[in-house]
Amino acid sequence: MRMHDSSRGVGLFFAVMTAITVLTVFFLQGCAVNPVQQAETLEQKAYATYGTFVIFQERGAALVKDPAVPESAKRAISQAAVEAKMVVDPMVETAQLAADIREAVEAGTTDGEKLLIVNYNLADWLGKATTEVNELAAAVKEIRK
Amino acid sequence: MSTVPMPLVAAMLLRTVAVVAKDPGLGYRGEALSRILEIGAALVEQGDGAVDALNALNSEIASMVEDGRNPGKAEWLALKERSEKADAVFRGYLASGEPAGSGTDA
Repeated sequence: MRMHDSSRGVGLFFAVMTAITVLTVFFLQGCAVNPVQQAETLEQKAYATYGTFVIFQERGAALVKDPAVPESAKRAISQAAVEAKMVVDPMVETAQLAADIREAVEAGTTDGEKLLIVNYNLADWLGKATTEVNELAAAVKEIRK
Repeated sequence: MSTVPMPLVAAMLLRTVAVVAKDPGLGYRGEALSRILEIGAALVEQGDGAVDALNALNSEIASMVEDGRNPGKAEWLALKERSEKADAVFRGYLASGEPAGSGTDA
């Protein structure tokens, strides 16, 4: 009987320790991953947003290839990814245009007004792309539940 | 901060505790706890593969910020190539019900 109580105590102790460990893992993962927030310039933020999009595209593509995933989920994730790309691609083009104009301004071959305008457009596309990327990420995470 | 091995460690710990919880002395509560822990271990093992990739991107951005530079053309191009490859899978699936490039990595 004493051994039985001891066994129960050990089991409960490990259960509590495990719960703490798992919570810590998820807490640390949540803290560690935020490339967009870490970026400082508009071009860095656009790159971080694009990188995040590509990561969830790749995760989504892996799910579409997974025979265990239901067809309805595959279709939903495919449509979300294709629609998101239609907004993310113009953001990428604008970011690359912004980089070209910034380099021209730095070289003194153009004035700063063009850079102001292109950065305004980039900020606009960045806002739209962020919404699309968040929706795609949510769709991928929903299927992985 | 590297988080790569932590989910695996957590999953191993969960499986170990699941075995301990199966002790007949714990009765049906132990069985239930064991079952919950097994499910938890499977979920942690499956994890979210995006976390490692996001951590790598995080490090890349941190390096850019530290160096005070913006992404270069080659970096944009590398992402674009990956994006187009994944996009082909979705478009293939939507067109035919079969993902393009099945059997290869996205």
